[in-house]
Amino acid sequence: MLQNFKTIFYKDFAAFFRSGNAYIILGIYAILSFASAFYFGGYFILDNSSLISFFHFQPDILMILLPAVTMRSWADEYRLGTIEYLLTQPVSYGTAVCAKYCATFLFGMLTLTLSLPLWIISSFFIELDNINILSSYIGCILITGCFCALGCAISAFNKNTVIAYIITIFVLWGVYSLNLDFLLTSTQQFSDEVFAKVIRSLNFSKHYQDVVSGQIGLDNIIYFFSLIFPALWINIVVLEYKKK
Amino acid sequence: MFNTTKHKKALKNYSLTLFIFVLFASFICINISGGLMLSRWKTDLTSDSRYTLSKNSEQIISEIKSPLYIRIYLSSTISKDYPALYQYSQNVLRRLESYKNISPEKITIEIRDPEPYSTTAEEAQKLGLKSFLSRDGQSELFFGAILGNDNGDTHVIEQFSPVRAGYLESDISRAINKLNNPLRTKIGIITGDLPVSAHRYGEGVQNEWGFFRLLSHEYNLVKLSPLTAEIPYDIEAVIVIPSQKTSFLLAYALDQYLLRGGRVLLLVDPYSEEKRLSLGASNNIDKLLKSWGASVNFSNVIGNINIGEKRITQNRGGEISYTNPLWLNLTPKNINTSISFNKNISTINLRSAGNILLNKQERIKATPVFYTTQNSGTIETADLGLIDENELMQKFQKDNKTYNLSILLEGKADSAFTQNPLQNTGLEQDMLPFLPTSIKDGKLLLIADTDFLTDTAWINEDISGSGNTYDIVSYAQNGEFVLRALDYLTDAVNLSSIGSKQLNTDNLSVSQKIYQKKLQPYKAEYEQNKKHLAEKEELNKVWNEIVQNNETAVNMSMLKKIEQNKQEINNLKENLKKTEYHVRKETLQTIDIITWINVFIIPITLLLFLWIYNFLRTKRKQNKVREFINEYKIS
Repeated sequence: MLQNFKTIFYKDFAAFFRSGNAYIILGIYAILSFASAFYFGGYFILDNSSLISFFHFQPDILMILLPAVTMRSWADEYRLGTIEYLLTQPVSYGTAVCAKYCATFLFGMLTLTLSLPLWIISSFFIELDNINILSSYIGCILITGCFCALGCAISAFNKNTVIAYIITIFVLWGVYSLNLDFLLTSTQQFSDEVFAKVIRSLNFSKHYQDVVSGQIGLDNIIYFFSLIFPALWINIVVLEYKKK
Repeated sequence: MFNTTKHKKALKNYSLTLFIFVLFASFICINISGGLMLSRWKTDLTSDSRYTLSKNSEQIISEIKSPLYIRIYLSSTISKDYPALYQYSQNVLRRLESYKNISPEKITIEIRDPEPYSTTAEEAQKLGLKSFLSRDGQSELFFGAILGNDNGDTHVIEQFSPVRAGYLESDISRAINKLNNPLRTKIGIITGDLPVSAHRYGEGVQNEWGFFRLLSHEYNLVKLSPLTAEIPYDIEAVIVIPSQKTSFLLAYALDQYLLRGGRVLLLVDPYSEEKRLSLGASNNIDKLLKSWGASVNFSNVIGNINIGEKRITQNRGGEISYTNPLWLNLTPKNINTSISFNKNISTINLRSAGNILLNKQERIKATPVFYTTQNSGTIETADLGLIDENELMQKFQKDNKTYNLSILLEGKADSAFTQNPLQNTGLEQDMLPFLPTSIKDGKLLLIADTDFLTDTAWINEDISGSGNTYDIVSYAQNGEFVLRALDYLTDAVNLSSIGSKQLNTDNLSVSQKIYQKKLQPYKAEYEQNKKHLAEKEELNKVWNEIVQNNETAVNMSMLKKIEQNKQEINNLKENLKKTEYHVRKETLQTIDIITWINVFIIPITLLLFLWIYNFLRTKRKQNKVREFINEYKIS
C-alpha cells in the first residue's frame, strides 16, 4: 500500500515540475505575496513583529493559486484516459486520493517556504515575535490543507481542468467568505450568547485570524480538519461513483 | 431495461447528493458544538503572552459584583485612515475578549461606530472620549471605551493608543478595579520644595508632573502641609518629599503614623538636580530613619559606569559623548524583581541618588528594592554643583561596592521621640496619644532620589500629551513603579502585581527603525540642535513677555538680541529640517531597495535555484537511463 502511495505521490509531484507549471505558480506566488505585503499590506508602516502584512493576504493569494495546482490532479487523469489504468491497479481509492492530496499539499507547503526569506530579512530590522510567526505559518498550512482537499475533490468531478479551476476558486471563495456576522448586532458580536457563538463558529476568516494572531484553539483545528477530511471522503466517493 | 438504468443513475445521483449534504450537515454540527464548547480555551502563541491575563487581573474580574459593560467607541474609518491604529484596535478587542472569556456572565462588550456627526459621535464626545481628526481633516474619529456597571459607576478610557500597548492590561484591570471599589483610596502627599502639581509661573502655567497625574487618576490625593503634626487617620499612605529643612513636627507625625501601622513612601535626596540642593538632610528625618534601622549618607552621591546614561556635550573641540555615572539607568540586575510591585519592572532611571545604610533591627524586615552592582563608586555631594561634565569622571571614585538606593522596611519599631513635642502646649489634647512603640506593622519605602520623579527622567515628552493619564508615553518605568509601590503599600496586592508587558520603544515599524538607523550618524548634531532650539525658543518666550509687560525699559541692544535670537531659531529650524529631509530621503531609498529585493530578486533567485536543481536531477536521471539502455544493448 505504501509503495502504491509513494508511486502516485512521486508521479504527481514530479508532474508539477515536468510541465513547468510549478515554476510559474511558485513565481507568481512569491511576487504576489511580497508585493501585497509591501505595496498593500503596509509592511513598512505597521507593527510587523508578527509579519501581519504578509499573512493578511495569504488566504486570498492561496485561493487563486492552489486551484491551479489541484485542478489537474483528477481532471487530467480523466482527460488523458489514465484514470482507468490507475484505478485498475492494485491500489485502493483511499490510497490514490491521499497520495494525490499529499502531492498537492506538499507543493502548497513548498510555495509557503518561498516566503521564508521575508522572515529572515525582517529580523534584521525589527524584533520579531517568532512564536506568533510560527503560529501564523500553522494557520497558512491549515488553509493550504483545506484548499488542497477541496480542490482535489472538485477536480474529481470534472474532466476539464479549466472548469475545475474556476469551480474550485468559486467554492473556495464561498468557504472563505462564509461570514454570517451581519446577522449579529454589535452587542452580540462580543456577547457570549449561543447564537453569536454559532454564527462565529462557521466563519472561516475568523478561525484563520485566531490562528494568525496567536490565539490558536482546539475549535480552530477542528474547523480546518472538518473541512479536510470530508473533502477527501467526497473525493473517494466521487471516484467510486464515476467508476460505477 | 432503459428505465432501470435511468432509475439506477438517478438513485446514484440522489445518494451522492445526500452523502454530500450529510457531510455538510455534520461539518456544521461539529463546528457549532466546537464553537460552543471550546471557543473559550485558547493557547497563547505570542512571545509576550499578549492574550494571557495575569492571575491578578483574573482575581480583579472575579471580584466584579454587579454586571459590567464595556462600550467601545471605534470609528470604522480608522481602518482606512490609520492602519496602524486599526491593527492595534484588533489587539485591544482580542484582549477585551479574553477578559470576557474569564467571566462571560458578568461582562458584556459592545462596539459602537461613532460615524461623523452622528448621535453616537456626540455621545462619545459628551462622555469625554478623546477625538482625533481623520486624514482629510473633515471628521472626528474615536477609539476609546467606557466601562460601567449597574450601580451607575463609570470609568472612561479616553483613547487607546498603540504607544501604550504594554500597559493595556494594566489600564483595563485598573479601570475594572475602580468600578469594583468606587471609593478611591486617600493618599496624602507632602511635596516640600518640589513643584509637582500644576501651578502658574509668570504668565505661563506649569503642568503637573507625570507621576502626579498618574497618581491623581488612581487615588484621591490629599495635599498635606509640611508642618503637619499629625497624619489624618483616614489617609492610607503618605508620599513624603521632605524640604531642605524638615520640621520636627512632620518627623513626629510620620513617626506616630508608622507606629500606628501607617504606610510611608519617603523620598530623600543627597542632591536634587531639580532644586540643586540636598532634600531631607535634617536631624529630624535622620532620627526617624534611625528608629527604623536605616540612614542615608547625604555626603556622597552614588554612580556606576556600567549603567550610567550616555550623554552628549559640547566642548571647544566640538561635540563629545560621555557617560554620566550619576544618571543611573537601572536594569533588571539592579532591581529586586522578587518583590511583587517590581515584577516586570526592567528600566528605572535615577539621577544622583544616595546610599541607604542599614542597621539591622529584629522587628523590622528590610528588603532592598534598587541597588548598584559592579563598577559602582561615589562622588562628593559638595562637588556636584561646581564641576562640569569633563571633571565628573575625574572626581568619580570607583570602589566596586554595592549600594542600596531604595529599601523597603516592614514591621514594628520604637518611636524616635520620647514624648509629643507639643506636650504642655494644649494642642496635644486634639491629637492622638503618644505611642512609644508600634502597635501595628508599618511599612516604609525609602528611596534615596527625588529626581526620578521628574518627567525628563522617564517620560517621552515629544509624544506625551499633558492632559490625561492615557497620554503618558514613557521610556522608563519610574511612574509605573511609584504607582505599583503605592498599590503595595495600600494593600492593593492585585494591582501592585500587574506589570506592563513591554515598553513602547520596541514597538516601532520597519520604516521607523530604518529612519532611526539612518539618523544615527547625524543624531548627535540633531539632538544638539533640538536642544539649542528649545533653549532659544524658551529665551524668546521670556524676552517677549518682558517686552509685552514692559517690565524693564526695552532698549535697542535688547531688541537686537531678540532679533538675533529669532534669526538663530530660524537657522536651527532650517538645519533640523535639512537633516530630517536628508534622512527621510535615505530611508525611502532603503525602503525601495528592500522592496525590489523582496518582490523581484528573491523570487527570481529562488526559482532559478529550483529550476537548476530540477534540471540537474532530470539530467542525472536521463544519464542513468542512457547507461541502463547501453548496458542492456551490450548484454
